[in-house]
Amino acid sequence: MGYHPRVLRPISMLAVLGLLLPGCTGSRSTDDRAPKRGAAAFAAPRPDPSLALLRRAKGGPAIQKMSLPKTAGAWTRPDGPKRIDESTIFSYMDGAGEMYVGYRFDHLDVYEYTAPGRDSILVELYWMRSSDDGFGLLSNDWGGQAVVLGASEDIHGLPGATSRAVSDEPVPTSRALYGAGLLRLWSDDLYARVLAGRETPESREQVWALGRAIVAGRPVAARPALLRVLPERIGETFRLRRDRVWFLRSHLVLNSAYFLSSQNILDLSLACEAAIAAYDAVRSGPTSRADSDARRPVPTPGQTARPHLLVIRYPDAATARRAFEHFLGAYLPEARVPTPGAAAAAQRIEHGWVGFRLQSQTLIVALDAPDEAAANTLVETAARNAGPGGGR
Amino acid sequence: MSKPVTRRDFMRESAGTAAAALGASLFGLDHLDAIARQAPRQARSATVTLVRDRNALTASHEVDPTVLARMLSDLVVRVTGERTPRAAWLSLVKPSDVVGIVPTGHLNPTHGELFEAVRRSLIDAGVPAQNIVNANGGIEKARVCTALVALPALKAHWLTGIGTVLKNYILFSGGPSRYHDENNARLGEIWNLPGVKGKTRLVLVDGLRPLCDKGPQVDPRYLWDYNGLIAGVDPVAVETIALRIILEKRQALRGEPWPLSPPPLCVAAADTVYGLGTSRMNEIKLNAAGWTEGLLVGP
Repeated sequence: MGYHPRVLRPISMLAVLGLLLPGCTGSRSTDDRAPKRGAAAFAAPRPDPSLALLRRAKGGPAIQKMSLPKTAGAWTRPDGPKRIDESTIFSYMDGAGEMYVGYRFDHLDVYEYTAPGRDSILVELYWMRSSDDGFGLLSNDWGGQAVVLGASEDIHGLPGATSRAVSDEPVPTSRALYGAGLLRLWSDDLYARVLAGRETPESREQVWALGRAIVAGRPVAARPALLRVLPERIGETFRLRRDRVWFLRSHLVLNSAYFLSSQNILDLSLACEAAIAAYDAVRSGPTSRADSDARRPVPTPGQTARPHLLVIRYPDAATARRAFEHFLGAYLPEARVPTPGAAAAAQRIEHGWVGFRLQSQTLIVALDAPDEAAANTLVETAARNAGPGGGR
Repeated sequence: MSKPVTRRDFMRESAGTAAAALGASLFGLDHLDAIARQAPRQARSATVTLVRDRNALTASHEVDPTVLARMLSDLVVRVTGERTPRAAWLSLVKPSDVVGIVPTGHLNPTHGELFEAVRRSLIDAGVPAQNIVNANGGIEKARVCTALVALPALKAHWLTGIGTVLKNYILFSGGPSRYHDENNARLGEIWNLPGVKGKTRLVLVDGLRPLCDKGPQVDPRYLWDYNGLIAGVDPVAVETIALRIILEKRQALRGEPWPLSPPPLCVAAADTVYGLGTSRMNEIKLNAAGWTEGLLVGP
C-alpha cells in the first residue's frame, strides 16, 4: 500500500514554517481589523462567493425581527440595536468574527441593557441563514448548565430531574447553556449570547428572562440531519462523546475542534456541511444507554488522542471528488486512491490510522483510530448511516 | 500557495521524544518545545519574572491599585536587577524617550489600572507625561515612539492558539486579518518591521484575570483570577511562559490534557524563523515570586 510515511522523508515542520515567509498571501480578504479604540480606516472584505450564491438562491438576505422587552428587571435597553454585518463584524470583535462568518452569518443585532449601579447585560443576536448554522455555533462548546427556556423544547437533564429525553441525533439535547453569567442559546436560525457584565442572582434571573423572551414564539427546529451519520458506537470498544460533536462548514472552525491543517485541504466552504465527533474507549459492562451515559469514558491506554470521525457533505459528487483528492495529496500522499465506489481504505500514519471513504457527495474520514479495524469500522458504519446517496 | 502545516508534521517532529512516549497532550508545550529544539541555532537564555499577589483582585474581580503598584515595582526590580523601581525603569528607557505603551485594547483588554500604573511609574522615573503614549493602533503610532512597552492581556485565541505577546503588535502590520489562518505563524515578522524593530524595552503581560479558552470573545467560564504579572525582555520567552500557564489551567479545568487547537505556531516560529527570542523551556529561567497557590508553572 504505497510508501511507508517515514520513507518519504517528510519536510521538517520548521522548514514548512520557513515556507510561510514571503510569497504566502493566503486566501483571506485583505481588510484591516481595527480595534474598538484608536481604529484606523480599513477596507471592506471581499464577499465570500459561496455566500453570494446562497443569497441569490434564497432570494436575498432574510429579514429577521425580534422584539426584546424594553426592560429586564432593573435593566433597560436602547430603542434599537446596534447592527453588525459581515463588513463590520471584525471591527466589533476582531478575529472572533471569523467564527461567525465561518457559518452562514447574516447579521448581528447588539443590545446593551443598562441599569444604574449595576454592570450591563449584553444581548447579541446572531442571525444566521439557516437553523443548522445556529446549531453549529452552539455546538462549538457543549459546556455549561443546560437550561430550558421554552415550553416546547426537549426535556433535558436538569439537576434533580427524574427523566431525560434522548434525541435521535448524537448530541446533547440542550438548546441553551449557561455558565458564569453567560447564556448561549440556539433557536432556529438564531444563535444568541446574553452576557451579564457581573454575575449576581439578580443578573442571572434577568439573563434567563431575556433568554426566554428571545425564544418565545419561535419554532423549535430540528438538528442537522447530517449528525445522524455519526455512529454512537464502534462495536463495543468506542463510544461517541456527545459533548464533543461539532457541526461546521469552515476549516477554521474544524481546526478549533481538531487541528488538521493550516490550510483548507478539505475544500470546506459555506456550501458544505460537516460534522466531527470524538470517541472514547469504554470498558465492557452495562449496556443500557442510561448506564453508559453515567459512566465516564476513558481514553484508550497508550493512545495520545481520541479517535475522531469527520463527515463532510459537499454540494455535489464532483466537488466531493476534488476535495477528496486534495485531502489525499496534502495529508496522505502515500495512500493509494481507491477506485470510485470501492470499499473504505485505511492508512497507517504517525499517530494511528486514518480511514477514508468517498461516497457520492459525502467524504468520511476516521482520524486517530488505534488500528485498521477501528478505522474501517468507523468509516463503514458512517457510510451505512449515510446511505448510498451519501447524504439525506 | 505554500505547503500546509498539518497535524502529521507535529507528530513527526516529536516522534520518539519523551513527550510522545509519555502520551503528552497533543500540541502541548512539550510538543512545541520538541519542535523548537530541532532548529539549528546558537543557544540562548532568557529570564521571565512572574509576580503574584492574592489580593491583587477583590472578590468581585476589581483591581486593587495599591497592591498592583506594589507588584509592578517588585516586578521591574526583579526583571532588571536594579535596586529601585526608578532605577529599573531608567535601565529600560531614557527620560528623553517617547515611550509607547501597547495594551490590548479590546475584548478582555489590558486592565486600565495596569496601564495607568505603568504610566505613573515611567513618570516617576523621569519620563515626561506628554512623552508617554498609548501606542495601540497602526504603524504610525509605533513610528513616533523611540521605546515600546508591550502590555498585552493574557488570553487564548481561537484562531492562533494564544493571543498575547506576539499578537500584541498585530495592528502595526496594517492588515491584521492577514495573520488569521495559517499566517499566524508569521506574527513574529511584525516585531521586525521598520519602526518597530528593536524598540521593545519590556514585555509585561497582564495575567490578573486571564482567559484560557474561546478568546478573543469573552466567555466568563474561562476567566480566572490568576492575580499575576509576567515580564521579561525576551518576548518569545515571556509568551512561552504565558502559554504554559494557559495550558496548565486548561488541564486543571478538565482534569485531562486540553491542548490548544489550533496549536500556536507563532511561538516556535518567532524563535526559529524570526529570531525574536527563545521558546525552549530549557533555555528559560522562571523567577516566580509572591502568591504560590494556583501557580501552574514552576522554576
